[in-house]
Amino acid sequence: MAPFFEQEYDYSKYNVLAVDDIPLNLLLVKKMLSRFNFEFRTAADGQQALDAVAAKKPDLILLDLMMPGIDGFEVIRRLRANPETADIQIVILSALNSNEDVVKGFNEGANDFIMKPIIMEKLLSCVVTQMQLVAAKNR
Amino acid sequence: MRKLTTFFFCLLAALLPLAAQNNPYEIDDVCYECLRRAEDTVDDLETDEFEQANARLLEQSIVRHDEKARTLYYVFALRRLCRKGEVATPEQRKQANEDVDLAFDVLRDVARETGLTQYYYYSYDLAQNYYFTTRQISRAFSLLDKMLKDSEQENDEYGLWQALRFLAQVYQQQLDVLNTRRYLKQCLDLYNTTKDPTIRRQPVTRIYCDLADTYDFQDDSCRLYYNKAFQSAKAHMDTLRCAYYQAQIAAFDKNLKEYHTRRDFCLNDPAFRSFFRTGPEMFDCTDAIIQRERPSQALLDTLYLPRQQQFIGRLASQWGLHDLSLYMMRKRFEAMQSILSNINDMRLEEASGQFEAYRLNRQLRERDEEVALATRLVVALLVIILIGALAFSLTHIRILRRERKADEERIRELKEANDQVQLANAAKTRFVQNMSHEVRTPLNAIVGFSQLLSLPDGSFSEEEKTEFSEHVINNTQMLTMLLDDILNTSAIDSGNYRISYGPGEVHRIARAAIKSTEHRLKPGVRMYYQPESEEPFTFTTDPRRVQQILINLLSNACKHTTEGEICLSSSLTRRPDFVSFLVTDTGPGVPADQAEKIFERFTKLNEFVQGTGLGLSICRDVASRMGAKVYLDTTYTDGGARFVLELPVTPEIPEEETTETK
Repeated sequence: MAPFFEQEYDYSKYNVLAVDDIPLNLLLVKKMLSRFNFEFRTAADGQQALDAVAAKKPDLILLDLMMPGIDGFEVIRRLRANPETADIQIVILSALNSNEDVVKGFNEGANDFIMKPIIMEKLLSCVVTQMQLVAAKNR
Repeated sequence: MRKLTTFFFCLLAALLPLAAQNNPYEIDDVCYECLRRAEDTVDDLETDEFEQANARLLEQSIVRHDEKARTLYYVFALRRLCRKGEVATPEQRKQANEDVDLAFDVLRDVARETGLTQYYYYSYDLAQNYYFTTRQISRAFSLLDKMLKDSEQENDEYGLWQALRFLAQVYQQQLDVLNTRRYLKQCLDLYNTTKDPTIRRQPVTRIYCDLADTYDFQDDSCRLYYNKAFQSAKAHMDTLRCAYYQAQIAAFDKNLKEYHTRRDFCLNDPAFRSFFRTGPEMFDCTDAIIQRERPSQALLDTLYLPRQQQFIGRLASQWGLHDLSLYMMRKRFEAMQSILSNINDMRLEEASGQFEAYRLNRQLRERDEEVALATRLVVALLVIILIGALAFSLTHIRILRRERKADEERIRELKEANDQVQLANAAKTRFVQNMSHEVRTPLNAIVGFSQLLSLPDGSFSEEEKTEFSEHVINNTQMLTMLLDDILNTSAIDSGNYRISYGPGEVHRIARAAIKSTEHRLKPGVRMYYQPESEEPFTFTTDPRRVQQILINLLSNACKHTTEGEICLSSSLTRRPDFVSFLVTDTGPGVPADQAEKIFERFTKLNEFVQGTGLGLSICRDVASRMGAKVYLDTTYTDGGARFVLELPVTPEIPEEETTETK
């Protein structure tokens, strides 16, 4: 974890949306990313996530798969279908861990897949990579 | 002060024999321009124009190798500091004194280096005047002493001359007749023996007059020195001063013809009043006395110099006006008195100022010591606090590490159990998948928050850390419950599950179950036990298993009830020969068509409420082993759900199971 905590990151101009039906998971992700100073928003289910994206397009979505109503796969599908939101970086954070689920996630258009329980180092390195991609794209 | 310094610089200019009209200092023209600017602004303390002008003077004097201009730069610097010192507050006085003394020493060194020591001795006037203006008489005297010593040591006659003159002047101001006389005589001695042309050019008339004034009019010495003054005045073409004193002596000697001639000579000279400010009034008084009349009071009041008052007093006595004589003598005495008391005040002031400075110094030193002590204390305190905080956080981290290790152990156990289940029955794949998600949810919280807790100090506040610890503990409990369910299911499946019959008391079982689940209640929900009859009723059963079933039912109720109440009731009459427990909640209830489905394994009505979906299935399994029944009361329609557990009062006990327990 050391590299992430020795270096100062300022991602305050980036917007992150975390989606999970369990509030504790949202809190955990928020605390883990607190060092990055993101503009951090949360959504409790698929519908809320889509509404949040419509309200303001995030740079990165951290998405749970198993949620009541519209599930994570469906959220990815809908976002990718819309040219406006097709380019958002999406990272799946899920307790589903079978190979099928992972493959399905990538097929739907996720950019990365992180299994729960979340290992902080993995999450942070993944987010840093995604933000570098976002920065490269913006350039 | 201004007048004095201007006078001093005129003198300075006059001393230079070949002084050019537009450059009296005879220095480089460019330097002179700078010097003129410096001279114009030296008294203007509001701006720093002087500093700029003087700095330019130094710069140009160095560039143009003009030693005199360079020396003058230091003279002006001293003059500026004296001027500043005059307006300084008593608190700044010490600093001002130091500045002046230092500037003075620097000037001396520079003057010696350039061989222009006369500027150094001139500048005594500046420093001495500074000390007088700021009422530091002792310092003024010690300065003059220093000047005297310096000039004697360096054999500088001009310096000596200046020192003696200043000393005489100072003593004269203080009405110290003997010392005044002493230094004036030394001055004259020097004048008469020196070959220094600068001194020889000085008019000594004034010195003779001052010396004569130290004697009484009747005294021969007085006449002697006045005569010398006349001669000197004649030699220096100072006829006006000469005439003035001659007129006074003539009046005293009642030589009226002589007096009138001298008087008219003086009064006809237009420069007379500028030489002797109250000269004409003196003549008016003298005229009145000669007429043996008392001069008007207004006229007498204009004579403010003790010397004048003394002369008028003696004159009046000479002409027989004894009242006036007495009056003038008293007046003179009063004037002297006031001057002396003023001087005493000044000395006292200076002395107390010095005392005050000493006291301040001591106070400052004491305060410094206090501050040092306080600082040391604070540092020590900080160190202690730091060590305390360090020790605390170290133990905290160690505890957290231990907790984490325990959690990991639990996780490992769980994984092992999970593996066992998977190996035992391939049909349980679905269970495992479901379990994976169920386990990972609390696990995610445990692992995640433990990681946050193990981050270096400073990442999160104490409150946050406490919150994280609570999440870890709660989720560990949840995980333990899950684990229990899984192990129970596994035990039931493998037949490795015993019912231990024994006596059980209805109310005790119910109350224990309530107690074990109370902490799961959502805020605002009430849970209570309502027995049909308060009388204790003991029957044969496995009290632990019954309690387990009730806990399961109550936990389910807690999980789904967000408001209202949960009621556990018991009844012996609801169904004859059966003990009935009823768990009634005000939650969302269960649709009638789901009444049986919920007792199947892995069935969850709401997928997103946490739980294994094993609880009810376990209840039913355990109950059936005891000949009991668990079901959802579909007739209950008052909102919420009601689960019923019916236990036979006299169960059929299989052979091995009784022997096991009894």
